[in-house]
Amino acid sequence: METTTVKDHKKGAFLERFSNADALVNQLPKLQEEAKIALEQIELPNRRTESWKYTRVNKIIKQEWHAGDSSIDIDKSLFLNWNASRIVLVNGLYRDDLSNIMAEDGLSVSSMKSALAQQRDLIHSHCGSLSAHKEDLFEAHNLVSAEDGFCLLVGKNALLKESVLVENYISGNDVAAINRNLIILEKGAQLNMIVANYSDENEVIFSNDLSEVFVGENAQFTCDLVQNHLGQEQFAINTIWANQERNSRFTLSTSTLKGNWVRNNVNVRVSGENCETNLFGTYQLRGKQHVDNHTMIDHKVPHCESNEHYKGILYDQSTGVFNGKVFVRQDAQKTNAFQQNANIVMSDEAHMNSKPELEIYADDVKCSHGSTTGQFDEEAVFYLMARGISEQNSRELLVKAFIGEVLEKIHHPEVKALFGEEE
Amino acid sequence: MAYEGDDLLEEVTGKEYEFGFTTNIESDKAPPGLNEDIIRLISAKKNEPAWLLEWRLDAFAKWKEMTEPEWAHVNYKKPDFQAISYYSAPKKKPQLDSLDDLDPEMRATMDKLGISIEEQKRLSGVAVDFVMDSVSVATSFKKKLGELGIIFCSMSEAVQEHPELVKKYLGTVVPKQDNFYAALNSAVFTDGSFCYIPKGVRCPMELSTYFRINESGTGQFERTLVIADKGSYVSYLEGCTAPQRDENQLHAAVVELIALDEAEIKYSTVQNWYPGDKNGAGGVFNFVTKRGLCETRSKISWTQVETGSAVTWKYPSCILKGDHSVGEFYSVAVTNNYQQADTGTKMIHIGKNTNSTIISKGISAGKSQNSYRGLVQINASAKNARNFSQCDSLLMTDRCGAHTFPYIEVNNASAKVEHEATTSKIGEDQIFYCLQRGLNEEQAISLIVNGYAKDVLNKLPMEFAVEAQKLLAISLEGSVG
Repeated sequence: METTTVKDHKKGAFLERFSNADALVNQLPKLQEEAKIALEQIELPNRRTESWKYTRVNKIIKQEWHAGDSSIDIDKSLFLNWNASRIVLVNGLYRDDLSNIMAEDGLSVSSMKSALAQQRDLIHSHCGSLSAHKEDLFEAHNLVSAEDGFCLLVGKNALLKESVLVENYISGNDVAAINRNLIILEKGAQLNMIVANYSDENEVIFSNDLSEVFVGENAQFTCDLVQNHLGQEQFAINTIWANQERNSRFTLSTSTLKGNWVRNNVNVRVSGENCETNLFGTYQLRGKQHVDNHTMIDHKVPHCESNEHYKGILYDQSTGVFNGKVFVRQDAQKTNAFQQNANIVMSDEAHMNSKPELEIYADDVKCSHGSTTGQFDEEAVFYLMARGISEQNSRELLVKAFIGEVLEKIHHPEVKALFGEEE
Repeated sequence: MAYEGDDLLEEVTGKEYEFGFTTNIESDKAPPGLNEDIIRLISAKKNEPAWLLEWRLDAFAKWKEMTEPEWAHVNYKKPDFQAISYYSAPKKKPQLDSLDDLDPEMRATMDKLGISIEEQKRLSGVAVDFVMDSVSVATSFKKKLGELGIIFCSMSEAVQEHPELVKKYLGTVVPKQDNFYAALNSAVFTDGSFCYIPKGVRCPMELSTYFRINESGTGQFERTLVIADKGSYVSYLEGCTAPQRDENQLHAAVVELIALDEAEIKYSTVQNWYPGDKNGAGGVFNFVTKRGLCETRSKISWTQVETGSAVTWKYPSCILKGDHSVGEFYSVAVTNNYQQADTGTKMIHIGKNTNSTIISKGISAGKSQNSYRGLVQINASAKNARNFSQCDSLLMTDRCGAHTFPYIEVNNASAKVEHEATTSKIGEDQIFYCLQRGLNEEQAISLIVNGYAKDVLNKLPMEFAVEAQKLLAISLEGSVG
């Protein structure tokens, strides 16, 4: 019993730091109540918590976090030459002055705060309707602490020509940034976006952001997520919940360029027939980096297809985790689901934990998953060296070839360029 | 195929659960309930040395602190451990010199099970240890094996006659506090088989154990210990059946294999406990812990055909401790009606250049749930370790489920681990092709399923392979959607 009290105390102290009078949820009483109950009931994740089996959260729980200064100036970006719409969040708050939304038919962007004031019904009907704040501690934590975020709406049949860039900066010391976003694509809409998360060297930060994405009938959503957390003591949880209606397409690529401790949760519910879902991811981990990719695709209806491809290279003392889950419900006949996770372990001190799961309740389906962990084919290295390429260059070439399979699925050339890829 | 189409059809239509008979043998049964006194009673009945009683009581103390695991993908009413009788032995148990002295009723049971000992003596020579309601009743071919120094007897006999071996190895691979059911087994195990193959001996015949739960209201808790000393080889078979009852009976066994340097153990199981009726009533809860330890250059190979049990929870594992050791796991798991199976393996790579192979074929029919759950763990010390896993699932109806939960943990840079899994149903074009050639649909399915499971069936000793093929056909009877 004693240990339980200690744990409760730890959890209580952690949550206490985030009590926020300005939280969005204060205006959403039903969700507030749900999250409150969940936070009381859910234990801190530990080794026995299946979804957190390989990822430790102790450091996050212990640290004295506080809210950062959201009015600071931002002068850097991975996308300096971006000429289209740009949404900027700083330490969890939407910055009107830095954001720049191009006038385009069907596109409307605002902060969650103002959306809650002006489009109350929209927020009420969407916010929290997908997320698992009743089951996951950090999702409940996001719900009770988030004060702002962005709300992006693409109207019926609006095919946005230009992509939207979302930049999310976290800066300061012992700073926690929590934001909650809504992305809604109405019937027939099309949106391409880049989401980039940044934090600087030598800063201690914790971010917990959650986006709910509603992809309407015939709509197409493509997103390239880039994570660039440069510091050592930085913890980032990134959660995406998506719902797909009939004939829609959802494509997400996750590129973890840098991140000391990153947890990505991508969850897609396929609720309409004839949908396509694509999830891609790459990670190249060095030092003591720890990157955990959790994905879930829930096929509820027939005639859908999903592809999942995650590839990573692990150097030094890094740890990679991949946990992919594909559900095929009883009614989801004729589902084609494909899942692949491939890893190269470059060092004896690196660890890779892979858990590709299938849960299938329908019979007329084609589902497969594969997972491989190994090294470079030494014969391939030899082959290249025999042609006059130095060993180091040969290996770099092979890394490129290995990751390349996933890189070519990235939609935006600007993101590919971050990997030194030429178009 | 080994038999003609018409025979199969007859078998398929005629039989539901072939082994559902009860034998009226008087038995000596302890009152239901679990407490220290019962454990002392079991120990006293077995005339056990003091250290073993201590060991049991310690396991019981640890078990009381444990909680029943809930992580498996199965749903069942937890057994009431106080309602089970932990000791039940056929009453007439004389010291048998030859099998002719056996109780005629018992003899009839064995014949029904197809352990026609005379016949096997003539044909292939399989040494059989027969365990009914947790107590070993007959062991054949003892003399012949004895000449080679092979010890093959019941566990209680081993405790009496070879206490040094039992004491040295019991609980070394599956410690008594290993898990909830292993702890329970350690506290109350009543018998089982014991086998020791001396250095450099190649066991000339298949060793076989037949397990049967006969009494109602009992559980079966047997413990098997197989030790293959340096450079030896043994092939061990295990079969199980139970009567048809509408209650759920508990079977919680522990199997420990020890392969010393350069030894090889091949352990095959055909598990056919009573699976419950069409509506999911009754059936055996099969919660088994099986694990093998491999020393240098040794090999352990698990082959299992799982067709029975209402709920199965079983992960035959290999600890590849020695360098160059090899672990293999071949499994066919069939579930029909309301059966649930959560089965797979664990391959723990510790030694250098260790190699493991996992081939798992799941077949779900009716409203059953069939899960593969496996762990491949490559430790930092396991340089150049290699694993290949293949887990395929076949779905026969639209009401059943097939699930895969592999855990892959790699902790060094020279390991190569591959895992692949597919889930699909029988192709309509395949069935069409068979129908076109004059097979009926049931035969076509049986043919395709046997082909699908061939990789595993091929690994079984011949006598078992034929039985297993028939079992597959019977288990899938009426499952064509």
